Amino acid sequence: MILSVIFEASGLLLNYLQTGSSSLGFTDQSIWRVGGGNFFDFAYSTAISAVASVTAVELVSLGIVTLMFTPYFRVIAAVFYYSIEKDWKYVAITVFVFAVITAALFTF
Amino acid sequence: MIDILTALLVSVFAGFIGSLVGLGGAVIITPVLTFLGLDIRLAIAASMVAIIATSSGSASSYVRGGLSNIRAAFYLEIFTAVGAVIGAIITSRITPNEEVYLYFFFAAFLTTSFYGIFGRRNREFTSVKQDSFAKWLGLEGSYFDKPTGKTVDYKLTRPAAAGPGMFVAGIAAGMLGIGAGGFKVSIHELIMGMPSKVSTATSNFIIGMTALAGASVYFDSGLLYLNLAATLAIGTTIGSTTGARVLPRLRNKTVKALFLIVLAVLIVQMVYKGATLV
Repeated sequence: MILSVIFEASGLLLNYLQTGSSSLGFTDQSIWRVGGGNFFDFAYSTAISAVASVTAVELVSLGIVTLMFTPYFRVIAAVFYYSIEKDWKYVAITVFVFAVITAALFTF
Repeated sequence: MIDILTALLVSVFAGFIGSLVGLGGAVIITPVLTFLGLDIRLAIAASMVAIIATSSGSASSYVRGGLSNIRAAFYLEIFTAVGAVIGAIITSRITPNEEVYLYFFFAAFLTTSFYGIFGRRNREFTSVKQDSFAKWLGLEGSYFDKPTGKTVDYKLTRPAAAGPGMFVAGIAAGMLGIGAGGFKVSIHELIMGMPSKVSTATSNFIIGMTALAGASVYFDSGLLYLNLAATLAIGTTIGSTTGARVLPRLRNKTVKALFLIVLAVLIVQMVYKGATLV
């Protein structure tokens, strides 16, 4: 849990890179637009291209990816926690939540 | 056109007010940004990601403090997560012509939040009898209440009724890009018998996972703009961290009155916007 705060802080710090003008345009061709595909694809391609070239878009994307992983890890941690506690009801419950979220992340 | 500074200010304000009452702030951000001219669906998609930030920020300290009831959170999350995905799918499929419904739905939802907060204002915590389902799920806990210096034990009940309620909250959350905190704490407290502080803490914990489920749908939809999402995330975090510091110094009544005023303004605004589109 403490980790999530650290992750988030670093993610947001990464976010803080600003480019040129301060107006936020929302066109279909905007580099900031997420065009589709599922989150895991996005995370993966962000990781790859961030290593290649550090641009504003990459940093912000990296920050957002980190941000989105924090609740995800929380669920995974819970699954492990209840497994260790041998609380099988809650292993089932947390696994179900994990499955729903993962399915959403994969499908969309 | 919205610029970064405006978005930042709005989200700081929203995060601040939201943290004082136990909300993520998206209920404030989306109406204000749409009022300033942003397409409502874009505001919703970006807010969905931003509230993950507020949730994660507060969740860790609440869990460490022993305030969040993790079991309750995950049990309820079963329903909320599914609802959120469905809600997000609905919004991402809406055409610009059908946006009107979003405005009215949002206004209706803000109204339930209004009652949620209004109804809580004088409630005292009394313990409830656990029903057998709740007992089987082990829904109970205790926390240390700093102001009184006492350890409060509590039991929760009626999880079977709370489930469907959270499903509806989830749909609203996914559709409107919000955490639906106001609605959720009402369910926690009125149906399940949760003490207020546990309710807020648990709601914050749930919101992160729910927002993640909803956000993943928006990723595919082409409605998400990272520049906006990131700005909102930063703003709400700043606002809510500040709010958490200020909160101990404010009286409960002040906080609630402030929030009710803000909500009333937003409701009027949303209805107005919807009406002009019709």
